[in-house]
Amino acid sequence: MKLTMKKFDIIQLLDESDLPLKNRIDSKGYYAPERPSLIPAEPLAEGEQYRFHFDMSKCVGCQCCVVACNEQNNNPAEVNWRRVGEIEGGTYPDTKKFHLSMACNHCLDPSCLTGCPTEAYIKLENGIVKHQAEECIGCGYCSWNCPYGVPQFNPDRRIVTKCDMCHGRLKEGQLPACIAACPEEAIQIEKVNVAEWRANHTQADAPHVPDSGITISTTRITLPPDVPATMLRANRHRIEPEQPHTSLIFMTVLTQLAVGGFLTLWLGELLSRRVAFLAPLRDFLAYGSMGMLSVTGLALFAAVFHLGRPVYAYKALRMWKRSWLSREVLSFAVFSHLGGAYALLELARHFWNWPIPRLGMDGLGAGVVISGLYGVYASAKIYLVPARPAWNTVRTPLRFFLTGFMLGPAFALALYGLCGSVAAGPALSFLAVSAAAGLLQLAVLLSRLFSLQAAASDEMYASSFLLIHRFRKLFLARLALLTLGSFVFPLILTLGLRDGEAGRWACVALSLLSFAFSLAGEFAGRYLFFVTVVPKNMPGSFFTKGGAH
Amino acid sequence: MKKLLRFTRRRLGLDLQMDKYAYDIDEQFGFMSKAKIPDRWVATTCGYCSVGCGMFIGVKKGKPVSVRGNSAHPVNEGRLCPKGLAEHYAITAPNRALWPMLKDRKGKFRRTDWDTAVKTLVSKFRTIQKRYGPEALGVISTGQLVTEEFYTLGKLIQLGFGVRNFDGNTTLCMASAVAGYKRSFGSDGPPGNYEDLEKADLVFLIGANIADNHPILCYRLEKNRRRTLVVADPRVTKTAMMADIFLPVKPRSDIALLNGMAHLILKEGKENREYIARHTEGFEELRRHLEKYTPDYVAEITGLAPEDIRKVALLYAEAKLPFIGWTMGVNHSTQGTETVNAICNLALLTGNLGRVGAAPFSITGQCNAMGTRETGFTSSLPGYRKFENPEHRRELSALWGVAEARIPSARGLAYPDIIEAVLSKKIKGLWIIATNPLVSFPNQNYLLQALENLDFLVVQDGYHPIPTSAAADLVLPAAVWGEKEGTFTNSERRVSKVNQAVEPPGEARSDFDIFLAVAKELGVYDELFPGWTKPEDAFGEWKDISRGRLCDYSGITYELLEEHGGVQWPFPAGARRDPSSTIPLYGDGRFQTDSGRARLWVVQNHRPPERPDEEFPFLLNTGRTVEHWHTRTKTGAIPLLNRLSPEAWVEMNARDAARLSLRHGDYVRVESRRGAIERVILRVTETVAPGQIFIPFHYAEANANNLTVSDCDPISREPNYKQCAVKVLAQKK
Repeated sequence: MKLTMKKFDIIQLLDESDLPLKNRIDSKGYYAPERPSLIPAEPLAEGEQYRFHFDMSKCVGCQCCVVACNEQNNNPAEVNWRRVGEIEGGTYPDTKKFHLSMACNHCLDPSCLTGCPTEAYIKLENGIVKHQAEECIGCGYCSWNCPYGVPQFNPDRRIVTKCDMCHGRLKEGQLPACIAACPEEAIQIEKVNVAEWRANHTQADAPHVPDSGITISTTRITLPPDVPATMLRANRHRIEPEQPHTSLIFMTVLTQLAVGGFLTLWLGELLSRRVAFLAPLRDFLAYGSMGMLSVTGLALFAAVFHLGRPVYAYKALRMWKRSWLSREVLSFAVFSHLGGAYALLELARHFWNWPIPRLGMDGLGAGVVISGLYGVYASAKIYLVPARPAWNTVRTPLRFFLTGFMLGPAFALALYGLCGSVAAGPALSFLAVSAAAGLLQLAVLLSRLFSLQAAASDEMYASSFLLIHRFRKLFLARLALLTLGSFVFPLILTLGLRDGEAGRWACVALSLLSFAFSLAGEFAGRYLFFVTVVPKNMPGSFFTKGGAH
Repeated sequence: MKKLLRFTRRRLGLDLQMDKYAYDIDEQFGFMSKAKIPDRWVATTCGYCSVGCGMFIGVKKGKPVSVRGNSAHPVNEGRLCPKGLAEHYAITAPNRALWPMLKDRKGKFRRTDWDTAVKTLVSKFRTIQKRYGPEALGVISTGQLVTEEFYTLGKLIQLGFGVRNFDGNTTLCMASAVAGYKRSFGSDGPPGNYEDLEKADLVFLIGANIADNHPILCYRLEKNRRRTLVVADPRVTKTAMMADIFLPVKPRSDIALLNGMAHLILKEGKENREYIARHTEGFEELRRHLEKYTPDYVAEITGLAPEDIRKVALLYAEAKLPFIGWTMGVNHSTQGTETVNAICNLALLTGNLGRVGAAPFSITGQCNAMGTRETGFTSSLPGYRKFENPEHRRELSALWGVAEARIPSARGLAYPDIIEAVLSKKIKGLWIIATNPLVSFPNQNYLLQALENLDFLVVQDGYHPIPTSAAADLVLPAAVWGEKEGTFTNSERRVSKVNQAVEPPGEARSDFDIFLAVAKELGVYDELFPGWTKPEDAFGEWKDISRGRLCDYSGITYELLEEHGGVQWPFPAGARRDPSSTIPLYGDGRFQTDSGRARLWVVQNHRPPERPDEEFPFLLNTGRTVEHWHTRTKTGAIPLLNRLSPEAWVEMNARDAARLSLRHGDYVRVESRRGAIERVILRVTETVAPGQIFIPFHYAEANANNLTVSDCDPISREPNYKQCAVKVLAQKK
């Protein structure tokens, strides 16, 4: 039978003995180039895992690996599990231009995995960090944690996806797609002794590649022999804002408001038993706690829409032992339930005079407050990731708590005015707490700006660049809103405040104004918080932002 | 409703599209995306560049869903470049031409049927020929057609329409290599092979950025562990980064470098006297001429250090198997042909050709530029025959059974001269086939002005609208790669099979079918193409035409090609050699000249036609990027590739940028005496020399050819794309 490749048939091919293609068929019977030197021939020994080796001196930046990877995995064009970056140094004609091809680094301490609130990530025995689509809820937290920008959100599936070293091909003894496609044989899979690598992983470092110590990247990079001292990223001009995450703006600001509000009410109630001028507060407690409860509900509802797969939001509770995101979800769930109970009981006590033991209410209130405060702390911890330097400072939790202490009392005051006659004692207390928090918030804000500008890292510099140039107007507006909401309106209010019905509506109007301005200011601030963070990433090519598009 | 349900399910996270993103085992290629596992794999040859990689198109339910490299193919052994790896998307691109379109009086395209389209074409062209004379018609084709189509088209134009003004876009690409080979060796035909890259001990690339333009040749080169790689280029290209020795020559100083090397070789007595005496002519003149090309003199012209010139000259002379490869850095020049001659001089002086590993080798551009060179009818008659040789004309008239008088005795107008004739209203009807001059032709304003003067413009292309088809009066939708059958010949003379994997979309037809339909309407079908229905009919005749010629195909059959993935010519009927084996040309030292000796040429280094001055202080160099093919009609429509290089850019040295207060990422306007481009992003880099800038030529939106000069090589008629004078101005973001 004559072989024609036109309608190629593998079975036919195998049957023929004198075919030129015969020797190209690998041991598994696949018709594919066999390059055993590019993947380990021997199985892993005890204490070893697989890793990529990338030879920067060989790579010519042809992008074959990028395209082959997308084809292998049927990924849409905007999701590239493997990416190629470019760095340059030297002076013409002694110019050095190098390319860096990078997929997942299958780290020893994979921060994608430790951050993940579900069981979407597992580290296989062979060291491959594998992502399981069914478990993923599309929260995107892994993509904040990874210093290399490896996990990428696939909008077509609404989950994050990433490189798995083509482990399906490896199992079949086949080369991963990127390796099979590379005309320069610049990529290969090798074995690495985990303990030795943990002790010394400097070979994972390269110019403009984030410090391998963050996650102990396992990818070994062979650098060319003559790398100039100063190398520039080809995409150094691409300083671009991150996504605003609108639902997270609402979720964080509003949960903080509710926690701050509950805390104010609960403390106020405790104090009202000793301090006479706080006594009128007791009648407001039921309204106030209902108000905070509603805000909490709104916040948690908003949070669900951050997820790519909102239906599976409950899965986010699963990894509370390791993930701050799980802990955040868990504590806010507790907070909302305890808060709900507290508000209902308070309501029952207020309207139907249910005889509820004071100690019980105090205890319940304490539970609400503690779970809330822990929730805000967990919220803040989510953002304290080394991969996002502008977030990774003590200012983040400070800001979050101050937002709560500013907005909570301000909201309480506005409600207070709406719900009945205004007594000067509670009103002034609300104002005082809120204004003090506002003042501190202003201080934190300004100190952040200076610290960003003083920072040496590319990412911090880029963050301040965004804040000062790209978002200058919004940043100024945010300062103005904070000043008006926390100081100007409250001051007018304080000066004009009287007990009783006289001037109540002026008071209500002013307190509403103060709250509205403060809230708008915090929303604007949170928006800036999200968009001006510049994540660490691998160096990109001229047309890519970070390593991604 | 169904859509809404699907949207809601997806939005809620209930639909992960597990099937779309699942994996499975393909019988041939193993573990891969399930969605891309086809019903069958169709073997074919890549339709982008002239490297000629063997590959498979995966066809599922009649649609191309994937491609894979053919590891049994002698060229690429399974590897493909990024364009090749995404080539199936070129077939399913959204900008495919689907129906014949005729422009109405208001200038709007209206769909028409094939019958009307073909009748209109023939009657319009006939009318033009009647009114303005037979030569008032011009045809510009391409190296993208299969050999069978190009051969058929040549007969149709030259013998059917009786018009000599027929050329290909290959003249914009490798005409200088053709003319240079003809002058040095008496015939076109690159003497080398890709295997040379693996076997050579010295690889000298001059004006060739293979890492961007022919990545699979890098793969072949990478297998060669003992080679020294020398790269001469004004720009520190990706290829330059691979080099052991990089020669940062000043633009257009390559002839000086080559002459300087020859000078040193003679001075040191390293020439091959026996080879020179037995196989060449013109040595004495050359020797006298080379005397002035001392290292100091050459250093001044090239900007290189004299010791580097000496080092490279001696490396070349002392190498056992030195290989010289070049591409557009040499060809895109008013002295392209002469530069090729200077390269061939080096090889001849040292006797370094005709052996595997040693050759002066033109790396060609398009997938079938070589096929169009062999089947000819443009710069030569089919089978590398000469228009001016009465013997050759007689042979052809006998083979075809047509009167000898019908075979032209001189070449018609070359591509740039056809455009000039359009401008001067000598040509009133133009047929453009599978090429996009409104991006690729130099000095676009000149071309635009010329096209205004046409009575009738036919554009036959696989894609519409593209800049050129938008200007047409009649658009003929053609099948593209993957939808038709035939053969391509790659740079190393290897003929490979191209197969049809899927049906063309809409009413698009293969170029072969279109040519036959036009022949029938013209009434020449029975005479010129008796009984032809399929490309193999043309191939059969072409084999006979090539018999006994340098490019002898007579032993090649479609079956043989499919079995071996590609066979190098010459492969005469009854050839005994292994069809997969490599065969260099001129191993016997017998050349295609009248005397049988190769000719050594005296070549002077001239300056480029336009040089920077006070008003236009930068020298513009143009070229390519790996993600894109020519004018982006294909790759621009493939998001996976286009996202990697979505827009044009200007590369400028950091010192120049600082002087102009321009920063990396700024937008600039670039202006020459002929035109300008707006809003191009600036890339500040040390890969270009101070005083020079580089712009890729792929982008219609910021077309480098708005800036380039009209000057052409006087011998080959290839345009001078590589040097012109421009200025760069800042623009607001």
